[in-house]
Amino acid sequence: MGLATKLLGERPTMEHVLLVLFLGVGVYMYVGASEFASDAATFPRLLAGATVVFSVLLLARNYLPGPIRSFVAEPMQVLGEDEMDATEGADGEGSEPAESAETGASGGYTYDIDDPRGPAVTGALCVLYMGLTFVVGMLYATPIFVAAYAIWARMELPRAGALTVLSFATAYAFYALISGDIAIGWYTGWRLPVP
Amino acid sequence: MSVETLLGAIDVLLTAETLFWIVTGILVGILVGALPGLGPPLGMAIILPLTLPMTPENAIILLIGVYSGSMYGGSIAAVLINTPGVSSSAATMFDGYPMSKQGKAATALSISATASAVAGFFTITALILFSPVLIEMVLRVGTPERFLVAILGLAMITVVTRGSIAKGLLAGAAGLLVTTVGAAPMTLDRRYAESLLLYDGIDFVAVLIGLFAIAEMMKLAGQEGGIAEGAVEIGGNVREGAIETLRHPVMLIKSGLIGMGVGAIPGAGATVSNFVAYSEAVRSSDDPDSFGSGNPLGVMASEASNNGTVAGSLVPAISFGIPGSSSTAVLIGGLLMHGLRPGPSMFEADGELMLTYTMLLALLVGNVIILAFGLTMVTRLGYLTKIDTNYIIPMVVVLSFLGTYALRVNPIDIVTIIVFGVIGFYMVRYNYSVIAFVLGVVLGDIAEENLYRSLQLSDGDWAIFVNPFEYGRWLSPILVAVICAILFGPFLKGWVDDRRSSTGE
Repeated sequence: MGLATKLLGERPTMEHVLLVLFLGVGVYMYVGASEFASDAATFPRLLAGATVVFSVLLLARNYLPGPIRSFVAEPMQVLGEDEMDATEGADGEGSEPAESAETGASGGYTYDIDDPRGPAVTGALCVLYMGLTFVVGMLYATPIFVAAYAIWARMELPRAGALTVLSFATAYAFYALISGDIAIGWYTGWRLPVP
Repeated sequence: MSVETLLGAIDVLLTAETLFWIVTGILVGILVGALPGLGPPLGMAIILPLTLPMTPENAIILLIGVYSGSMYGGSIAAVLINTPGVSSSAATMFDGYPMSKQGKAATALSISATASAVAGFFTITALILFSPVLIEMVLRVGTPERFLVAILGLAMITVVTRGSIAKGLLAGAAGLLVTTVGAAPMTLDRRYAESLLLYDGIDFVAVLIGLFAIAEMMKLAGQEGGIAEGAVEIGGNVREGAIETLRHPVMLIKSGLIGMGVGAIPGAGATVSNFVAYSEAVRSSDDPDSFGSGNPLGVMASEASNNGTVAGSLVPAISFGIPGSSSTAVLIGGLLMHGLRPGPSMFEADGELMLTYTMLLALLVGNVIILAFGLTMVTRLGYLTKIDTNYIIPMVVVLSFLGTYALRVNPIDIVTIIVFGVIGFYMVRYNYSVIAFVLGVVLGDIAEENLYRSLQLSDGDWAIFVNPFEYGRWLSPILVAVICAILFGPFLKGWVDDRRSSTGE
């Protein structure tokens, strides 16, 4: 109970949200696996269990005893990259990542966030794009999304217009060559007139 | 080496259509690599759905061309605007940008093109020559070992990439868990498919696009810089750069082999090999102090290694389905999408051996194209660094959505790319290994299938993985021991050192 109280007392960050998401999904899938035949249940149960265990360990990393804490919280690299500006260490309580340049192994080259609104707006516009896809179809949702992004980015009008037209042309090429269904709103069944 | 198969592969390669896709892949790759914030996994992920109507050979050749081309393309932004287009060109900045400031940008870019092409050509040739040995090894590996090799790959990724091991293992387990939605690979039981839309499971192509394209674009939207303010002056001499590079064959081969070796380690990839090769160039130099202020050998070592990585990363990818990097994870996704299973079948003469050879030969040709393009277009490459990210972001999102949705017209795929885009964004932000997660997603079905078959062989006895006396499989316990050593070795060593220092001093 003491540990749970401490955990709940931490200043929440998006990492906590991420870990709670993994934990929730892990618990749900572990419990759900009991409904499958034993052959089909082994693998998901094993992985859901591992997901739950590691999520809990990482959520509680600041309160674990020494050796376990080092396993859970400390970075360990076989190929040291002294020259690379590694920034991680044992995570402090409720720590946010250092916002300095680093070379990630995931395809990115730096990870400075100069404007936190950028990712939030991009994510929100993606959700809007999805919503429009379900209502009016992707053919028309595409230029609306691009126009909305151009407005947010304060793009010059001629360039914004050109980009919007280009996006519609791209969507039309997909409509003509790959799938005519992208002109239909998936949820509503609406099919707006196509040029 | 099956000479007949190799000759068949050459026949396939020399068709106009195949050559067209090699050239297209390389050019798209150079473009994707040169644009800061993009990179090979993103470019490959966006192209992946578009390859569906193509033949498997051409689809894989296109993807591999993008991969190879972007390794060179990344050096363009590194040299011209001190921002690596891809992480694997980070070390190129150290000497490439100072050369650019000294008015030798064209020399640096031609060194980059020549080093990339020569090292790429050499390492792919080495891989083709080594392939009979590789084939022999792969064909000896049985079902339980294949499951353990998958776990070994995951274990290595968690240790090689940054962040804690627990974070890497969580990412890997979560990635594998994603693949359990839908039909079980062997029994066909429906799992977690509450909605009819989930009956076919979560599409891994959508997951890859979410993780690499949407997450990257969210990240890019929060960043400023990386784009040249004005015109970039490209001075220097292209011929001089090419000749200078060819004067250092030992450096090229050494850096290429470092790239190949490191590239074969799951999770390490070109990002690591490029620093390792650069450090080695500094260490072995008579004038180490000149590095960092425009020494051509720095550009040479970095660029030779990252193209060498391409050959190295293909070894675990084709042999066991274990990606050495994010790019090879997408490549494996491409193989699976076209009905090709990484593993023994890729090396069997009556299987996909011809495709494997075609792929490798396409890379050889690709390196020639890189050289030709790099040396002839050097003076025009500055344009690529002036494209505003505000034009790139919406178009990448559009291509991601269209490519994903048009394939199956399943709304779950759109939800998938957004959900995994957001998850990927925060995973990178908090140092969770995206590569481990992707490995899980790509490898899930293969791993589960091999686990299921192994337990079938042993009547459900897990000792098949550790008891060689009963099951006669000596490789399995060795692999288990290696996995344990990789995961716990560093901590045991630290614990022993602590004990020694506390008792001895």
